[in-house]
Amino acid sequence: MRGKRSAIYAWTVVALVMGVMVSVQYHDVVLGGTAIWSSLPDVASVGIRVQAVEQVNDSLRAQTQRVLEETYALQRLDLHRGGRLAEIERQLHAAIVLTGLSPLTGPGVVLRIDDGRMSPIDQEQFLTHDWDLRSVVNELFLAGADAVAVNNARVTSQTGIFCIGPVVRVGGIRLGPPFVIRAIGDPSVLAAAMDMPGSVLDVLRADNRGLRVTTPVRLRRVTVAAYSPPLFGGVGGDGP
Amino acid sequence: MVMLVPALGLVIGLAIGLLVNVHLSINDASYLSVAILAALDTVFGGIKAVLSHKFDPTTFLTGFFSNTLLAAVLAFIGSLLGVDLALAAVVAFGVRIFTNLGAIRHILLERAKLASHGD
Repeated sequence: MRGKRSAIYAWTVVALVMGVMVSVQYHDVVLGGTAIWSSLPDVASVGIRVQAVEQVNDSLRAQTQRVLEETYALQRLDLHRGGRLAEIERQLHAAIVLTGLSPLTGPGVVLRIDDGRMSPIDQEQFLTHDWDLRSVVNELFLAGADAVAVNNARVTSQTGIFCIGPVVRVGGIRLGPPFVIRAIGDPSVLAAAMDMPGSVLDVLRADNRGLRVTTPVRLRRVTVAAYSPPLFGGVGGDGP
Repeated sequence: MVMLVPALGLVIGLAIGLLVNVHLSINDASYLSVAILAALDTVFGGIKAVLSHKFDPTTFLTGFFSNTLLAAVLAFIGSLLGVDLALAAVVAFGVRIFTNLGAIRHILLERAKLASHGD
């Protein structure tokens, strides 16, 4: 009797487990699952290989991250100690400022030049000309400006300022009045240089010209746009 | 009447498998297939043992679980080594299942013959 009971018990357990296995598999097949292994013989091993490769990739990524962090830490340490890297970094920054490749923010001055009122005597005189802008920009650089821009046109060592017909071209960008000139540098020195009696601004304001020129405003934060190559210069730049 | 208990177990098992929404990954599906084959083989072996009065519940139970597990484990190891042991298991268990079925048929036929002679 006891043998029979344990036999029933054994059969029940086996049937239960068997039922679960079969129905799980059935469910998977019916739902378009993955139990099509016999027609895809090596799916399992390919899957395992993919997992292994992913693990290797993950560990390599982690290693890359570690090495990068170490590099950054060493760079920071070197910069902190003022080593060779610090010198290179300083030179790089200076080069970026000089070439105008990135926008620059710092203390500086802003001034605005607009055309004057039409004079019956000389129509040309009330317009803002390329040489007017050029002399103001030169004066700002002479006063020690690190970066100067006319409206959105950054003035670099290769930027020319010309009149072309009715507009002024600064580098590859054509501009019309009013001209807002932003310069980064020591605000008081720049402002003093521009405000000096008989300065370029005074010449522009003089009666024979009558341009409307504001006094330079000293600001703690001035942002000067980056130099943009002619094709990407926005306002109609079509060539260098 | 007592034989209904295992049948009930089977039904409950099927219900559990269908109701619990288990989805197998592409890797595990082939292991379950092999495990099912091993389980089927053990079940038919058990039926044969019952018919030939050699059934032992302990052997049956341990055989069922160890065969099932070992088949799946072997298939898993095979896929790790790039050897398709799952295919080997399908062939081996398939042959065994049909041998067992043949043996069961023989026993049943023998019994029928003996019964008719008894009359």
